[in-house]
Amino acid sequence: MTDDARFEELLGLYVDGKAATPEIAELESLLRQDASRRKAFVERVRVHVDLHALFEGARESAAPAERPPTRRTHRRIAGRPGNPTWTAGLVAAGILIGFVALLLLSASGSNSEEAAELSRRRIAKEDARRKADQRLREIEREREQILAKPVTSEGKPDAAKEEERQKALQDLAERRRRIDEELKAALEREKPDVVVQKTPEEAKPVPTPAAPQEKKSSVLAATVARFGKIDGDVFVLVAGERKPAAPGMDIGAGQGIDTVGNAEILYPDKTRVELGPGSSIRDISAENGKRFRVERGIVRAEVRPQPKAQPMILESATGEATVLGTTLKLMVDPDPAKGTRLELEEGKVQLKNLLSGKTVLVETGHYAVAAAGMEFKSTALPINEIVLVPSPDEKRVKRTGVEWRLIKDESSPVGYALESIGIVRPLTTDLLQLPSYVTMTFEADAGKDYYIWVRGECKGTGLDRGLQDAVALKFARGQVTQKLTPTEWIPMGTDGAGFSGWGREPGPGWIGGDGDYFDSRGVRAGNIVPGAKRGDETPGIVRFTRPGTQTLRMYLLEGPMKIDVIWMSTTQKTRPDAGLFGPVKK
Amino acid sequence: MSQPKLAVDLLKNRQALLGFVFALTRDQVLAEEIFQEVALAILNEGSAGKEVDPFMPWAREVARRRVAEFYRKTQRREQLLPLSDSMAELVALSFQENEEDPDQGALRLKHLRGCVQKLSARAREAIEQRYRSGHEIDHIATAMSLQTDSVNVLLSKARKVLAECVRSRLSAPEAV
Repeated sequence: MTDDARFEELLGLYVDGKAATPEIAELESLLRQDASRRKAFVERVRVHVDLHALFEGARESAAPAERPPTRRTHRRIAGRPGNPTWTAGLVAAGILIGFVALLLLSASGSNSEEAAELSRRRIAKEDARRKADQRLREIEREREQILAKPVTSEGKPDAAKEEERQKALQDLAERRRRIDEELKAALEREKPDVVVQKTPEEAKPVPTPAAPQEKKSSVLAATVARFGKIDGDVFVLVAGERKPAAPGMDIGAGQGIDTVGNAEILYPDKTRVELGPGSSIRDISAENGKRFRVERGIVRAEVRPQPKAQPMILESATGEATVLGTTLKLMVDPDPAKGTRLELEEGKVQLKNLLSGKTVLVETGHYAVAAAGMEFKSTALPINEIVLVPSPDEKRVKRTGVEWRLIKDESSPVGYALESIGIVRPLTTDLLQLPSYVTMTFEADAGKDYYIWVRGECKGTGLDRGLQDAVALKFARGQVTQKLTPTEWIPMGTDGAGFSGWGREPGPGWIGGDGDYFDSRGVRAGNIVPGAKRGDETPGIVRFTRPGTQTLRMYLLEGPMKIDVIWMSTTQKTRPDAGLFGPVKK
Repeated sequence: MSQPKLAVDLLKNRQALLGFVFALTRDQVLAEEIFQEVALAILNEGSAGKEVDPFMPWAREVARRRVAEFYRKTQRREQLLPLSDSMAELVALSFQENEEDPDQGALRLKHLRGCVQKLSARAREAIEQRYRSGHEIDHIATAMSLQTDSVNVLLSKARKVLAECVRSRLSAPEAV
C-alpha cells in the first residue's frame, strides 16, 4: 500500500473515531511529511462536521433505539410523556417525573391551539392524579388508624368492635373504589380529542361510497375491534350495507367505516384509532397485523407496540405507513396532488410513497407528505412553544452545587419546583464562575424569536423581598435581546437574560426580565407610585443559532426563590396570567 | 442590540472552530459539548468588551485549552484518550496553515448539499446512514450488506470526493 493510500485509510479511521493510538501515531508521521496531507486532513475534518450540521435536524430526532447511546442522546428530552398506566395505590407524584413538556406546535393557528389544548389536558390529567393521590393517602392513613385500634375488651375479643372495624374498612375500600373510578373518568375526559383540520374538502359531508372494490364480508366476520366513543353520525359498512354505528359495536374483518362526526376504534391490545369528521376507511383487518385503507379524512392513532413481523399498516392511494408502535396522525386527501400527510407525535413510522415507490422513515416531531409532484422527505415540525419544568430526572434538569434543590410542590402542575437558598450576589459576580446552577436540556428551532417567561415566587419575607427575587438564564447557543439597566445588573453577555421582580407582588407570577416597577422617567420605583410600570412589559427574547438540542443554565442571583416553569414562546408576548403554567387554549 | 465583534466572529467561524475541536477529540458529540463551553467563554469575553484580531488563532487557543481541561477532568475515562501533545500541535499547525475565509462558511454548507446529491447512490446511502441516521459503521455494514472495512473505505472515499467537490465549487468564479 502506498503512503497516500495508507494516509487515506488512516484519515478515514481518524474521522470516524476508530483510529487507535498506533494508527494516530502513523497518521501523525504522514502529516508531518507533507503540507498537502495537512490540507486534506483539515478539509476532511471540515466535511465531517459540515455533514453533521447538514443532517442535524434529521439526526437529532432519531429515536434512541436507532442510535448508539451518547452523552447527548442520554440528555435528550422525550418529545412527550408516555401514557402512564393508572394504578390506584401508586398514583404518586412520582408519576409526574417524565413531565417535561416540549410542545411541538405547527405554525398554523389551528395546530397551535391543538397543541395548547393537549398541554391543558396533560395538566388537567396530572392535576386529577395528584388530587386522587392525596385522597388515597388520607384513606391509607385512616386504614392504619383503624387497624391500630384494639378490637378487644379487657383482653377478650369483642365481636361488636370487630364488626365495626370490618365495616369501616369496607367503607374505606368503597371510597377507594370511587376515587379509582373518578380518576379513570377524569383521565378519559382529558384524552386528546380527534384532531380536525377543516379544509373545505374535509368539511364536506361524505357521500355514501359506491363500493365496487368493497370486499363482501360476512356479518359474522371475525371481530377485529370495537367502536369506542362516537360523536355524530358514523356508519359501518357491512357486506355492502351502510348501518349506523354505536359505541361498543364490534367491527369485523373486511368492514369499512364512514364518518360524518367523530369515531373511536378500540383494538384488544389497547391500540386506539380516532377518525375525524368526513373520514372513510376500508378493508379493516387484523390477520397478520392490523391493517386498513384510508380513503379520505384524518386518522389519529395511538398504536401499542406491535409484533415486529406484524406491524400495523395504514394505507391510502398515495402512501403506506408501517407502524410498530407510536402516536401518529394521518391526513388523506383523495386528490393525489394533496396525497397523504403523516405527522409523528411520538415514535417512528416508515411511510412509503406508493406513487414513486420510495420510502422514508418519519420520526418523532417530523412529518412527510406522499403526494404527486411533491418532494418526499421527512421534515421537522416547527417548535413554537417550549415549556421546561422541574423534574427529578437529571437527564432533563440537572442541578449542580447546593444553591438549588428540588422540592415536591402541590401547587405546581407537575408536583415539583426548584427552591433556592437565600443569597444576594454582588454586581461584580462572574456568572460563569458560579459553582451552582440548574442545567436544562430541550429542543428548539433556530432563527426564531422565543419570548422568555419564568414562573416563580419570592420566598423572602419582610421589606427586603425586592432583593430576594432574581435569577439569570444563560443559553449555550442562544442570542438574547433584553432591556436591562447595565449598572444595576450583573453582566449577562449576549447569551444571558436576567429576571427579577417577583418580590414586588405576593404569590407566584410570570416575569420576562426586570419586573420591578419604573416611573415615567424610567427610574426604579415602588409599585405604589402612580403610573409606575413594570420593566418587563417587553420580555427577553432568545434566538438560537442552531436547531435541535439546546441547553440553558439557570443561576441564582437573589434568593430565596421558587421557580416552577420556564416558558419560551414564539407567540406569548405579554405577561401570562399567574395561574397559567404554559400555553393553554384560549 | 448590536452584537460584540467577538460574537459576530464566532458565528462566522463556528464550523471551522467546531472542526478544530473535533480534530482534537475525534468524537462529534464530545466536540459539540466542548464547543459550547468554548463559545460561552468567547462570548463572555466579547460581552466584557474584548476584541481580538485575528480571531481564529486566539479562538483555537481557547478551544485547545478547553479540550485539555476536559481531558484533565475526565482522565479516568479510558474511552476518551486525549491526543499526544505532538499530535495536538500538529492538528493546530494544520488548521493554522489552512485558515479558511470565514465569509465562505455559509457557502460551504450550500455547496456540500449540492455535492452530496452528486455522489453515487451507494456512497450517498452510506453518508446518509452515517450522518442523517447517526448509525455506527457496523450497523451500516449490515444494512448495506457490506464488510465493515468496505464501509470504512466507502465513507472515506465519499468524504474525499465531497471535500474536493466543495473546494472546486468554492474556487469557481461565481462562488467568490
